[in-house]
Amino acid sequence: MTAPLLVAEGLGRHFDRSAAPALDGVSLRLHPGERLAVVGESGSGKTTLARLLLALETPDAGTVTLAGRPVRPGSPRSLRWFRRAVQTVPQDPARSFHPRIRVGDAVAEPLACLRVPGDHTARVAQLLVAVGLEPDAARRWPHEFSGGQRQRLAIARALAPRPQVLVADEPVSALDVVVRLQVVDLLREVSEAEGLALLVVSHDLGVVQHLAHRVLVLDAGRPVEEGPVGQVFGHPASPVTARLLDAVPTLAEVGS
Amino acid sequence: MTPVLSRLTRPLGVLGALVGAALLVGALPWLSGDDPALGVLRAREVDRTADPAALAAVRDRLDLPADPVTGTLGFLGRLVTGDLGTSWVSGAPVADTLLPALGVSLTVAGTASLVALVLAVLLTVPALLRAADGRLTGGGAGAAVGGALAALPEFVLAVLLVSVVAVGWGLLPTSGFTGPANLVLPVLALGVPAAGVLARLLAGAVAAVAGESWVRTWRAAGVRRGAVVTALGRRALSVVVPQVLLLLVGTLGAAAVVEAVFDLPGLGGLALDAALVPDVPVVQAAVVLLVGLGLLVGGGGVLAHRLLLGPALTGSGLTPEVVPAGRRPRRAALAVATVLALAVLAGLLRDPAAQDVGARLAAPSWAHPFGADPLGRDVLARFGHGALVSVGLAVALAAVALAVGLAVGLLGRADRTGTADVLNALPAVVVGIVVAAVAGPGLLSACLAVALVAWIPLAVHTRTLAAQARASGFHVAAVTGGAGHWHLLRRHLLPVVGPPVVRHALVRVPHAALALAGLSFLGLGAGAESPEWGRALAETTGYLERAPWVVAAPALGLVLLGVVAALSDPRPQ
Amino acid sequence: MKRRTALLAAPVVLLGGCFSGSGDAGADGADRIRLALAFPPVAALSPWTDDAVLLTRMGAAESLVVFDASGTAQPQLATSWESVDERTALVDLRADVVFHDGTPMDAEAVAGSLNAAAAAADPPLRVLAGVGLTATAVDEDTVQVQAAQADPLLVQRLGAPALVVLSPAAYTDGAAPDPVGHGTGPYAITAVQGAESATLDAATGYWDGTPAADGVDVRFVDDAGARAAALRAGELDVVQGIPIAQLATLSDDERVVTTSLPRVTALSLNTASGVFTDPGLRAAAVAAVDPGPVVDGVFEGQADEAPGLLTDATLGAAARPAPSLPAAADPAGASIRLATYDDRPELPEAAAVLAEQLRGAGFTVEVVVQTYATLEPDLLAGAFDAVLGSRLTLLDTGDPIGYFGTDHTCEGGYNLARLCDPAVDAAVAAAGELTDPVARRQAAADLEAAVLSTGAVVPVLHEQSRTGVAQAVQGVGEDPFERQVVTVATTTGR
Repeated sequence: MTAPLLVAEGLGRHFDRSAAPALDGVSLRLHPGERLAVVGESGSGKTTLARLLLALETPDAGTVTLAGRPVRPGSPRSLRWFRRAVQTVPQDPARSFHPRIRVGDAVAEPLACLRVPGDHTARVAQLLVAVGLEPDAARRWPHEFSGGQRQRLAIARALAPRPQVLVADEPVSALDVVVRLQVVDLLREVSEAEGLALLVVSHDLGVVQHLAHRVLVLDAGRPVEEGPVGQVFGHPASPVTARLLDAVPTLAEVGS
Repeated sequence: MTPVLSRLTRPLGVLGALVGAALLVGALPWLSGDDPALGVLRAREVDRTADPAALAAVRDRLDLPADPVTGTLGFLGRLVTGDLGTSWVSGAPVADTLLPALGVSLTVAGTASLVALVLAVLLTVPALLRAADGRLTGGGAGAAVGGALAALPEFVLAVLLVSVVAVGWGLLPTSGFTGPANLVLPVLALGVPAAGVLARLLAGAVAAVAGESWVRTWRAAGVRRGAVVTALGRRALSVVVPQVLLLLVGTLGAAAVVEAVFDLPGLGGLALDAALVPDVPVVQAAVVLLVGLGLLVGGGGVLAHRLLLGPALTGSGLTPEVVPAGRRPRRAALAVATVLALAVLAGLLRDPAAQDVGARLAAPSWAHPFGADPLGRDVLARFGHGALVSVGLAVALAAVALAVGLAVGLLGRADRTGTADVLNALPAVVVGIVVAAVAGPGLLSACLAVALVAWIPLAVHTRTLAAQARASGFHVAAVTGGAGHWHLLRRHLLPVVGPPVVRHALVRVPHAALALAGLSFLGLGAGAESPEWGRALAETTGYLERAPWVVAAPALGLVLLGVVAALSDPRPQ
Repeated sequence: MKRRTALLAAPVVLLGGCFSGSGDAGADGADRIRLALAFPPVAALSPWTDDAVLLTRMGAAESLVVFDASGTAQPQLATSWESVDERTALVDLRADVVFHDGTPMDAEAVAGSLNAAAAAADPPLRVLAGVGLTATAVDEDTVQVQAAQADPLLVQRLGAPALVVLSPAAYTDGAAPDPVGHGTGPYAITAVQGAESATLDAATGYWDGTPAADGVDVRFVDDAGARAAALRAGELDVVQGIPIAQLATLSDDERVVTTSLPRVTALSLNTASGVFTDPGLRAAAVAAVDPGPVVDGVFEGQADEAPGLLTDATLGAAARPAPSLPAAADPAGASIRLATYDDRPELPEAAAVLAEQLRGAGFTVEVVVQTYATLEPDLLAGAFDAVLGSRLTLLDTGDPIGYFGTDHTCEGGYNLARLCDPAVDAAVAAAGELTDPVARRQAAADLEAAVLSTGAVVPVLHEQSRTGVAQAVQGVGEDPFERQVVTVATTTGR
């Protein structure tokens, strides 16, 4: 087994001293090329975990390391090495692009900010094709694209600096069901083609099953269960996982 | 920075602000180079000539410190033990006059701020209801009213209220502070113009929030109109609450003119009279008290902002609307601006300086379309010539305030209260006196004094909007994309924060003109015979009942300016 | 939820209110005079500051003598006096005068009061500066007053408000006497609320009869407009200092009592530096000034054109010599700065009119208006070419020679014109030694002519005091020295 790429140990975070912590003692290991899903009910701390892993907030307890190097939120310059390696695909495609910046410039933004060498225009065209869009889409405005297309653009932007890890927080929840599958397939292709590790936060177990190798179940900020997808979904060890699985409506039930 | 040190910076900053303010005021006699004994002697006996023996006796009694630093340290030392010092003029403890005055000012300013907020909310309710129905069509009548009110000079309103309500109708007492009935007119005089400013801010906030997608979702989901209105209102209010608190503290020390008109024994008049002597112990104590209060209230503003918005502020649940560029200003704004410009042009063609004492306060006629002023000069001519100075200066000052406010609001850290709250708490007239002492009287000093204070509301507004913008989706995306601070500022924060703050600055243009007027009697500002609107108002308010046209012309000019500023909002989608 | 309700509670606390003042001071059926005075007390009504004149205006305290329109001493607490020698006087006191705290006013009390005033050092009283006054009780009703050197104005000084007679109990604090309940006037102070108001009750044992009202409720209101508004609204009976701008707004329910004052509004020209060092240009300025438009326009007829620096009432029978000025030179656009202060509301407008007149004569004029406090240092330093100011010509002593001494001699402390003419100085010194009042009046007239002949001062007008009263009010004081407003005869007519 290769060395883990992104490691989190004992992460803890609370917003209000008197209330329950948002995260408590969460650890995970992400290996290169591995796809890990984080599931749980609303309020289980999934988004908080994603923000901590992206170094957007400082954990109150625990550490995050990338390739053995500790990650501490600080100035953009001090985190540049981290940002080159770890990128995000945000949740809301409608709001993650600035309406007054052309799509091509938005996709190229990480290249400029992270000082990635090379021809940015060519790279942008390459990325657009890779996510299934036309190269001349670069000159258009975000509002000219549908939700699914914007999510593809978000993936293109995330791939621009050739990262090693993609953190996706509910990447397909805001999309139509039909489009969902296309974007999920795109994520899996990209992960396999580029050897990207993927950490997906989702409440949609179907997506998780389709996409991830391993799954981590959170409940009220605490890790409940972790393991290969087939094993956890097939034989859930924890009642929390079982509850999550039971809550998923199947076609057969809906039809009857 | 270690956690301990970082936790100390805020209290240290507060302490530094208090000491700095005390030092600045304590240095007044040295800054101006005048002998404080002369001022104290004159305050006690107006007609006394300053012979050296008397001055020496006064100096002995005052026991003046050798330099500002020792004096301030002594003052702070006594302050820690609860002793506010003794007045140089009366010899009585400062606390005996200062604390009751603070109580009076707190009551008046607090009630005025509350009334202003309530009035502003009432003015915004129609727009709020329209927004909840998805029919937001922009300001219209509400915007014009808000802009007009914001430009009403407080002292003109005060004199008007006294002559109409108190003397004419006999409904309320004219002056004094002996019971709740005395509170009504001063609160109206202070609160109505403030309500105009707040209403403009609220309208802008409502327009911004109404465009967010959750509103459509809620309506489509059939959520009750009342719930939508409440949620919209709460979001819009969160932008305005820090401004209300700013207003409260700013009014505490700055309402000297209104206090004079209503004979209120408040802090503004006390601080001003003491600053003119200079009775340094009183001014030091007043300034430290005001600054301390300002910092307290500023912190309260941030707290209130957080309370109203909740955890959404730290998550990525907010995305402020970005107004696309290039909308045409409304036709109504153009129409009003044209009327104003025509009047100004007509005035420019006439002679503003020709005196005719026989035509003193003449009513409007063919010879004098706007009537004549107390020296028989043509009011229309003075209106036109004054416009150039007033509007030009005010726009320039607003631009400077905008630049500084944007810079401070964007570059400052999100939650720290600092210089802004200190400067806001300092009464503008005290700032004016300090500037006059350092830079000498004149128009430049007046502009400097106004600029020193005018940027604060804009900075607070920027800070508030920036806090929301930093929580938006594309901001987060840019941060994870490795964007540096400058890149974020330039491409993501400024386009979001800029336009509302620019509109806010426009609303404040009449304010800058009025602030200049307030300083003119200190010798700061345009020359004595200048037709500048603020100066004209300050000199002629006493003639309001005999010759309303003399006061009405510059006041209307300012009000129309405010209306134009208010109606210039580009129409939202 | 708890935190939010706490936020809402905060404004309620603010509304808890801090109301000051006496509220409802009068008992039912009491006939009390409601008075407003223009300047608030600065030192808790201590008579050794400007607050002294507040005491006399309220009718709370009195001095040994008072002045009539010509500045001659008239009896008040003293009935008669005679000069023993050039530095001593014997003063006979009125019998049956009782202080408000019950102690009788005898020679001991009066001597003690005068000696305390003479001993005040913080700073020394201006009326006693350099006099070295000592007072001794000769017998029960006679006091001997003695100066350190010859002093023709010895008895006049006793009329200064700073020398009001207070009971011995008032002088327990050496720094400032406490007049509350210790005076002799028709009304006794019972309470003082800071610098906002005071309450007085009628002193039934007053020596000149029973006061016509039951008491006085005084408010100290700075703003002239607020005073006028309160009078018109019927909240006040007597208001000191109605501004000219508000006169036309008074209705039939109010009227104004006007009194000519020995207060001259004059333009002082800087003879020491700048344009006006040239006597010819000064003469041109004198020729250009026309008081008519100022009196009729700015003051709306509520002032008198000045025949000179001193009023006719001051000079009495003395002949007023005509000043002789040098020939007027041509200004040819000479640039001057004219300064005035806005504490007296009519001065800025008057300055604008005068500036226009000077422009008509060929000067280039820039007008500077500031509040007096910020202007005074520059005024005294001679920073302006011309200053329009208002000055009392009869000071504490009712004698005009002192005015010339402070305003027009080389060493004078208020010499705005920076006039330094040895002839004038000698004349002032000589006039100061005259003992005969008639001779002093004539000497004053000659001094005035001498000063006006230098062209250093241009008198414009003599002011009047305007006291607004409700229509039914009678017996308000018409004192040209503005020291008596409420008298024993003042009644509200209700």
